[in-house]
Amino acid sequence: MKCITLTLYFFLIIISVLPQNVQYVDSLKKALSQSDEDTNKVKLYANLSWEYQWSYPDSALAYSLPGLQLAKKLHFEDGEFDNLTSLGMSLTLKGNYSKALETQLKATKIAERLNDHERVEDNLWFIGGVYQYSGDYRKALHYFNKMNRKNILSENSKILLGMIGQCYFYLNNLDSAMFYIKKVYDYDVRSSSHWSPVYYYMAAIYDKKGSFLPALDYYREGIKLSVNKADSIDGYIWMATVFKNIGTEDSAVYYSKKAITEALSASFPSTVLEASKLLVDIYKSKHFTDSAFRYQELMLAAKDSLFSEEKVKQLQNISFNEQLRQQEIQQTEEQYKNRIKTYVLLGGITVLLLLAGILYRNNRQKQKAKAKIEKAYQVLKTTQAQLIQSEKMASFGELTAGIAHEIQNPLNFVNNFSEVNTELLQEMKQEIGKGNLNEVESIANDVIDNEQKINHHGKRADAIVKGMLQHSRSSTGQKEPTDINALADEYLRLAYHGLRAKDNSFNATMKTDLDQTIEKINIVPQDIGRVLLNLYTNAFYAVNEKKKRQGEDYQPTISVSTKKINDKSDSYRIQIKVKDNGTGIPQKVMDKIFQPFFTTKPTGQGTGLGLSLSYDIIKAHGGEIKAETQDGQGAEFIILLP
Amino acid sequence: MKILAVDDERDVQHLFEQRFRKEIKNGEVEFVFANSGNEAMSYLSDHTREETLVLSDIKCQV
Repeated sequence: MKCITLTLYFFLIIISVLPQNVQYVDSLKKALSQSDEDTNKVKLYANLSWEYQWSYPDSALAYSLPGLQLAKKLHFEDGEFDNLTSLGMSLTLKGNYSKALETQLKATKIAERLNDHERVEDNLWFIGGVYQYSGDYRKALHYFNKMNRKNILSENSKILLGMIGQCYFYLNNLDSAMFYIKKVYDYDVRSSSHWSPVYYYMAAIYDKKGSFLPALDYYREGIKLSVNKADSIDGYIWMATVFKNIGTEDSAVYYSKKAITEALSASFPSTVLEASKLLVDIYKSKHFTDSAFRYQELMLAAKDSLFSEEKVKQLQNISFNEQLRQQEIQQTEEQYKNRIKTYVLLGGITVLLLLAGILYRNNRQKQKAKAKIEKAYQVLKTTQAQLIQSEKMASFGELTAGIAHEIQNPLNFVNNFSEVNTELLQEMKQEIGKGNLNEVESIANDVIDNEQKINHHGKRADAIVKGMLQHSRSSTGQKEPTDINALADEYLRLAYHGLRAKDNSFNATMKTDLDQTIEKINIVPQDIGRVLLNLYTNAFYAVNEKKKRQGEDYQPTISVSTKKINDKSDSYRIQIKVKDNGTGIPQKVMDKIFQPFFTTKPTGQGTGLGLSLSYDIIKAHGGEIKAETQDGQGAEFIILLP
Repeated sequence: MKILAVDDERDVQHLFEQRFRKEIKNGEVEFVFANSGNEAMSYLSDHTREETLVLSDIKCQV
């Protein structure tokens, strides 16, 4: 029965171009004779070889061998593959399985090297075919199942599916066999080109189940539709077997002889073996010794050529080698995978290390930068403290001139009054001598008055000196009840005289509008004084600038007003306004004037800390300071205190 | 001799009156005091050519 697998090889070109197409074969031969020694000739060899394959494998060999040689010479691997597989196929059909397998495995290496998926699949099919022919169905299935083509149903893949069905059939798995064969059969019935083996296998399955009549019908249909010698011979052997099994021996002998005759002419030794085996069995059972002996010889000859011990050995060897090769491939694959894994791991580690490095560097840079910033911050803080101190000293300087003037007056009084007193006392002495007591009393009263004046002006000088000391002190001042009107007035005069001391030509109208109902409020007098001094100095500066520009027509005016806010809903109780008619503040710098170190004065003339300090002081008192201005018309500063 | 003294320090009047006590008594000098420039000007405009001397503070409120 094994020989029946023979005709399965139908795929590729064979399906569309059948060997009976003599015209096509002739045109190929003509082209071959005219062709140069090039790749095209290699292709022609392969095509011709495949054309002869199924009917005359020997002729096929005669074309694939020179084709293979030429392909090797030209290093034309596509052509080498095509001719190698054709050669392998011929060897398979001729029963030389070991050589066939070796040839196909050579083709495998080429297909893998070309990375040609189509050819790799074809090759798998051919190798599976070798095993199927040699009767190793499990191995055959192993190769067939590797193919993607088995998952689709087409003219080409129907043969593959049919072969898979056949393998299951021979492995006695009838359900799986039926599944594949029925699928192909249904497809083939509707197809325009038919493939008889599938009919045989439908029949064989029925046969095995004991339904002889439908089996015979399928065989006849298959033989009728067969398109080449190999197929029809197979049909004969199948029928002979059925007839033999059901005891119709004449019909069995008839079909067997028909098969042998045809198989011998086409050189299909496996078919000869099968058919002669059938005949030997029949003749033996009938005790026709001569005939039985004759066919026995034929059978042995065929068997020899197919399964000589050496050939079996070779096949085993090659199978073993193939297994080794597969293992090697697997190992290589695993090694490759491991290498990839190692590379990925190394890559990952490198990336991580890099990341860690970058992070470490960043961190270090950050720390360095932090240290730098902290140092710079410390320097800045020190500088700022120094600047604040120098601002105090600057305002102290402004004060000194005013103070000198202020202190001068009381000292003059002290000196003059004490001189007057000396004179008066001398006069008194004379009057005492004269006994003019009325005059003495009058002089004594004057002396007392003058002493009070001396005392008053002495205290006044003392207060000025104390105030000066207070001003130069760092602001650790305590809040104390203070007459805000007196403070505003005192500092106004200090500022004015300070400016006059520097610029003798300067003059300004000073207006004061002080609310006498204001009681003493709790403030740090030297701090608020400093604020007022700042505002006054700025005001005088502004009017002076304007005076320089406008000349005599302009009358510089500074006005100070205090007011008690009686509205209970307002959180502030005292309002102090310092207004001038100077140059005003440009609108675009209005939101900057309270920022530290912002100044509109020429370099060296202002620290830019005055208003900033004032702002801080007023904030510290829980108050508010704001400015209103009209550019060119003057400015007004309003202090609100709780 | 009539003298106009202009000073914003009010004690100046007292001091002058003490200092020139004898001269005032003898009628040698007569003092008039003004506390500001404006006051002095208004006095002068009211009393024409009476004064022979004006003593004034150079740094004084107008």
